[in-house]
Amino acid sequence: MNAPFLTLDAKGIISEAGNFTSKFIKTMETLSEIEEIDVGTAPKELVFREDKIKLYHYIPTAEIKCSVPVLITYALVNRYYMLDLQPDRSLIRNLQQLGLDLYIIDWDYPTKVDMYLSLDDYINGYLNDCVDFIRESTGHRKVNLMGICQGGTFSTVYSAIYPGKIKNLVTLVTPIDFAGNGGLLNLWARYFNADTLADTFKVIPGDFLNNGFLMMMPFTLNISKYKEMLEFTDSREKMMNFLRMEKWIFDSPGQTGECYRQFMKDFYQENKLIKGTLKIGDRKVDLKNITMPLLNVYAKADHLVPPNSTKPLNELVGSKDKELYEFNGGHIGVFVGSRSQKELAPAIAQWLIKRAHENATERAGGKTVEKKRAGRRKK
Amino acid sequence: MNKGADVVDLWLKTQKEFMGSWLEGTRKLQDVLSDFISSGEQAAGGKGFDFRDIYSSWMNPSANYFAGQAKAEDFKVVEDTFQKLFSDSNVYMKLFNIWKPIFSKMQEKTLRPDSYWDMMDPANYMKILEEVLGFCSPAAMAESYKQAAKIFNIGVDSAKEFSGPWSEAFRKNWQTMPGFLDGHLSDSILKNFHSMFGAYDATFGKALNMPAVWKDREKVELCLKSFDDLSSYLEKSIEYQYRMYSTGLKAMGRVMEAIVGRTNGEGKIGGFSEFLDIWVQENEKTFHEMFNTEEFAKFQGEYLDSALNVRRHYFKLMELHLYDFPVAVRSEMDDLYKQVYELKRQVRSLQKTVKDLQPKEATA
Repeated sequence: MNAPFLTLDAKGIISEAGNFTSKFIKTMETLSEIEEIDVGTAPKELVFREDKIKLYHYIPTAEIKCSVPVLITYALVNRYYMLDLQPDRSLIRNLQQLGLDLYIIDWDYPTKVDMYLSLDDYINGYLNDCVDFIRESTGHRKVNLMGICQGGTFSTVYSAIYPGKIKNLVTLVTPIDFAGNGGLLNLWARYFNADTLADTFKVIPGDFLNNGFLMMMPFTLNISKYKEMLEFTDSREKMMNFLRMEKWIFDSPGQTGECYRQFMKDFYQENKLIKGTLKIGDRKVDLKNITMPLLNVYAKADHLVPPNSTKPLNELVGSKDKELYEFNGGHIGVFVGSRSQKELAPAIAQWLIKRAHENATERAGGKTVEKKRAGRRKK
Repeated sequence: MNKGADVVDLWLKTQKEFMGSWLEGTRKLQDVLSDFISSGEQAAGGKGFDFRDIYSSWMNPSANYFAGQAKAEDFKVVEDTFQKLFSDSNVYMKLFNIWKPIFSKMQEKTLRPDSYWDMMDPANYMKILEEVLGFCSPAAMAESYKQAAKIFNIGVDSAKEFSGPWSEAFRKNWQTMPGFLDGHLSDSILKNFHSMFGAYDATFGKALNMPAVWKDREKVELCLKSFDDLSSYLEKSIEYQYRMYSTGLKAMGRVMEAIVGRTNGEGKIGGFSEFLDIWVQENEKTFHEMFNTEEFAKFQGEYLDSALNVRRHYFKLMELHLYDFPVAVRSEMDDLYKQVYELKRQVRSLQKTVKDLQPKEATA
């Protein structure tokens, strides 16, 4: 066996150490020039508020091509600006430019006074109230609902309970089937004692949840990422974008104990959504009640929500118009990747706009709209 | 036959039985320890040794003795016998003489409350002592022996129940002896503490679990519980670190293999940066293999649970300490939050009801 380290010559080592030091100094210079990490800059107005939950309406910047408003929900552990991290790579701005009228919920940061908030409060309470507000304020009997990650699960559950209020359902990287072994999250969560966690923390800290996510790829997310950061250290804009992403990742609200307890037990451990035994509050959740058009987006290389957790939704709903979209990237890439801006945003916008104009056909004949589109779309 | 002699004979006989049983129990204990040390942990349980044997060897003869005495027909004989036994020592007078100077000094002081006078009068005190210790009532003697026999019998049964958990704890601790001998001190100590706490919890702990004995009892119990939780957590933590470390070693082996493969095929690696990439890649892969197993997931759940138990009991302990201070403790705030939560739900529900009624009112 050769001694591998002896192949590194002294000249190379000195050269690399010098380059590293130069990059490090430049990084420090660049970082010192950045005073504020601005995120969520797309213009919006607060239109509804209930307890800590806020509903924002993004002020349209282009012609509205899809008259039915779109309400966006996301995971409780995230912040609302996750789709609007940087001005030139903002899913929100992009969808607006493509003609959508967007609303987004801000779940805010729960504190101990919120510890008893349950899934019933979030779904039958806050989400339902936001939907009702949009319906009443815009005059639309139904709204489009777009859910991301855990927000997608919430949207799916909501659509099953209140199908009469939802025009179209769009789910992005949404966990539906929690029984598969495709992801570490599914496997680990099965052995977490949700009761002890909820009773001890009262509000599960965002940092605790974040550490769990980091543990899934500890070396890449804790080491490689920062090594790569040194490669664009001389560009203020690139550094700013990196910091925006970091801010979003580590700006994680906690989850209320009761909500976390039920989500872990009913979804991850007992997989009740798939089994048809789930109840939110006093309402039973039957996925067959979802009869509105469905666009289900999964990420091919998603390490948090593996495709086999997302894809079964299309088989379980009662919708005739349903589409499965494969995004060629990872979980986070769906919100912030360049491919997301170039491919996913137009695909979502077109899908919704098309259905805004196909209403008559749908109502008249109940026509099934299942088309295989070019690119990565699958039935 | 002299009945007094019978009493003494019976007493001596039971003492002899007691000594014999005790020696037998000691011999058994030595055998077990000897076997254990020579043949490892299996021997500890292999001989059928029960720690309760030691209790039985002492308690049974003692109980039998008192039971025998309680059945004696003539308690005057018993009294006479004991009076004869102690006559030479003149125990009462000696006891009295011990206390007499103290009482005399107390009487010389100015503080002489009348109510205490009788108690402090040496003559009266001697009379009281005679009544208490004088064997003057055969009925009292009979009751005394009867109760003693009963208590000892109950004691024997209770001791068996009581000694079981401790016996089990000692057995488990003996099983950690090989660990001690191999130098796994911290791990063995933690296990020992855990098994001893288990025995405590199943015996004394149960008695202390009686509701509202006194608040400090809860503190003591929680302190012990927290310490036991901490020991369980440390045990899991050590195991977790071991898993991480051994997986890290495995990953490092793979890194070396990858680098050797690279240097054999392509000459040499392109510096530290490339080495770091290989290192991250191999570590990520190796750790993922471990993370992605049911066994690790289960262990991780237990590890997390043990950590949370420490935290939970520590908070309870803090709350107990703070209870007497003018501050709102956690459980009180939780109650308040619950009320706020329920009120908010009620308000929301009422608001919706009012809203639903509004159009009807308008059309009415």
